[in-house]
Amino acid sequence: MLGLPLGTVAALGLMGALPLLAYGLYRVDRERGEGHVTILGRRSSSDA
Amino acid sequence: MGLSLTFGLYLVVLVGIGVYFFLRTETRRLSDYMLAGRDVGTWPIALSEVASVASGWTFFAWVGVGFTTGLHGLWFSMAMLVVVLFLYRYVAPPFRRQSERLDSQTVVDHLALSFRDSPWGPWIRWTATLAVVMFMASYIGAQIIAVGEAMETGLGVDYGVAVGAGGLAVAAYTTLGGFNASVWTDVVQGLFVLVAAVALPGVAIAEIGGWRAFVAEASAVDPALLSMTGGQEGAALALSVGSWLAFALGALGQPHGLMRFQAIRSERLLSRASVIAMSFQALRLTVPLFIGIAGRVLYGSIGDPESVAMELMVELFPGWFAGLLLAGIIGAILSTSDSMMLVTAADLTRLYETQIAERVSADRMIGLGRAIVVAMALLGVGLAYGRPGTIFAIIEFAFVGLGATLGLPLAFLVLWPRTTGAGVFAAVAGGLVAAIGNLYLFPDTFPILVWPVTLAIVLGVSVVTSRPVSAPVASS
Repeated sequence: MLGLPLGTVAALGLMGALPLLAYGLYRVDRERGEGHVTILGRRSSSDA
Repeated sequence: MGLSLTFGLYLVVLVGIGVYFFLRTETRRLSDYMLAGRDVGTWPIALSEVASVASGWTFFAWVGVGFTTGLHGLWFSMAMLVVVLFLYRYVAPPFRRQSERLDSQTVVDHLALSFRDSPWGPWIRWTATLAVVMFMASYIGAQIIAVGEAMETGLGVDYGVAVGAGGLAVAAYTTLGGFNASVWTDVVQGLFVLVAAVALPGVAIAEIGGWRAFVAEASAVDPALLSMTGGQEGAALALSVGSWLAFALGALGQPHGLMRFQAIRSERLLSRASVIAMSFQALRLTVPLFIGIAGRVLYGSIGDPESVAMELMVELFPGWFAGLLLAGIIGAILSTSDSMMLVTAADLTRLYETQIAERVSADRMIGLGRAIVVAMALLGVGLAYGRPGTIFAIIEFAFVGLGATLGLPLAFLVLWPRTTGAGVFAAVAGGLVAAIGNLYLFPDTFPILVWPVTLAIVLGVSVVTSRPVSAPVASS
């Protein structure tokens, strides 16, 4: 793919996927944690 | 001419921002100067955190890695992104919370204040401050070497003059504006770095003849350039990958980056900031490798692979645009230096305030902070004149050293309630010794040994010395 070795393509794919994972987690935090970081959908802190 | 003019104007704007915050902000407390009153928003925090960490290695050290070893460096990039995500999600929230409760201003301050009622508190402060001064001096020296090389290559300015001018500019705006100026100049520079990161590889690959030609020619120059193995196999490959992963773990403890978590307006902004920071980090950890490979294809061999991006910029862009990008990159390097000076100043002033002189006025503390910033700038300029090694080698040492001595103890402190003052002190001292020992006694394995040694120390000492009633103040 793109003329690059498979392992390199996988690494570049991961570099693109990790920010998307951060965005997905942010969406969960916004909906289930009112913006606070959540762990498995539960807010990690008790103070507002 | 266009290049020099744009660059000169940029430096004027940079110092102007510092003067603006100096005149506009009524700085009442040291934390106002250092942490901008803990009132910094999402975008400034995320962009400045990246710009302050990105610095000289994005367009110098990392381009040099791309030039010499190619995409093998992606092992570091992937590991670093994972560490950054872990930091934002699991370390930063409790750290921000505890920091406000303890009124801590830096990581060192935080570690020491968490054990303020224990005999270990002062030991932690002295040892960790020593580590900060030592690693930061190296780090600042590396940044100013990069400034000198950039101005020498881009503007044709004598290296010695460039180093002096760069040191002066950063000392001026950091001394005048403190963290507020630092954050805002970091934002401006973060955007310039972004533009350069997108434009430069695109133009360089187009110069080669497009993507297909780039891949074909890079493979012809050295087939290992585009591979994740770097042309290695077996034990050599394992050692090389291990070194990249160990290097990336250093991201846990960069005090100038962690300081931004303390300054953010609310813990609730961290998740959003993590998306911006991760996107920017992904870009700046990938693109320079391609710039380096393109440089290898275009130039074949070059005296200093770390200056390839500057050569390409001057050669491929119109003068005014090259001047703007060059100024942005140099600005980003200076902003890293200023953040480092600021955090070192904060640690030394807090050491003075808590261990040496009691009842120090706020004005005197701010004055002392500014004097230390100037002293660190002079030290950085002095080290840059000496040029003790490549930018990459110096950054690697400082990055891993800071990560082990500060990052690991901090992560344990905020995540593991059984962490004790003795454990934190032992980890700080052990990390310091391990970083120096690994580099000088076992250089072939640097920085792999630093982490298991420091990890074993913090775990072992904490387990041995922990008692249910002696939990740290911060985690109660």
